[in-house]
Amino acid sequence: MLVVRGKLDNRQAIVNIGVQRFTPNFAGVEQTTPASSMPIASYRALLDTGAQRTCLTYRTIAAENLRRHGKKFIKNVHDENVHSLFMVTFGFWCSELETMGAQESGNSYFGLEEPVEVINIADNDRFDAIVGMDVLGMFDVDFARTGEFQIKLG
Amino acid sequence: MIQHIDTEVDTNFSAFNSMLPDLLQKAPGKYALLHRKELVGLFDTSVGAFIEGAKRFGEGAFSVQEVTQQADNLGFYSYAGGAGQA
Repeated sequence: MLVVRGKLDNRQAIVNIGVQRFTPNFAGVEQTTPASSMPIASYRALLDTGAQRTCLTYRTIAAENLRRHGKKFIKNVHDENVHSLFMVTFGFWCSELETMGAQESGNSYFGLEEPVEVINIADNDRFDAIVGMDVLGMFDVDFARTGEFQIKLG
Repeated sequence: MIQHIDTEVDTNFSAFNSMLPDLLQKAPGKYALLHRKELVGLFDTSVGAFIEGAKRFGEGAFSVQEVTQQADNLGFYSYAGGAGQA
């Protein structure tokens, strides 16, 4: 089983993710699974159950040369603003959990089957992205009082 | 190229907002595919609209807007505020 494991850092749950521009492949009849191209860069992402949508900082958007395709009203505790929308392939850097011996091995990548529509947010020095409930809601997420957490990817 | 993309998204957004009251009656929750300020079609998902737009017009020459008046919520996240986010 693939899992993302981590420990709270300054009371924040940070994981490593990968994002790339989603480019439909019209070679086949219909695109079903977004393809990622190697290498896949790793970005620090905050798990945020209060966010309905996944977000990328300007810096991450520029690094991946993403193109916006729409706009969306987004509100937070302060106010409401118009943000840009970007379509990306999305995945987690994770470990493979050996079920028999409960040992972890390797550094694997788990890409979501469907592209994700994300928005832009301001840069900051803590993380490059926010993983919102649009993505987190697809998985079982466990937090322990020791500060350790895991996302079971299947 | 970037200017072209920005113009397409911005002008389509403006046109979409004019269409929105009518679209909310006809197709709430659908995703509108727009090209040159015209409504091209309505789709069940943003991904479906995006793929159709890329196929018909090429990347950057279309936009996708959800037919809703509801804003998404980022909770207590404080970095999202400020002008010029788009």
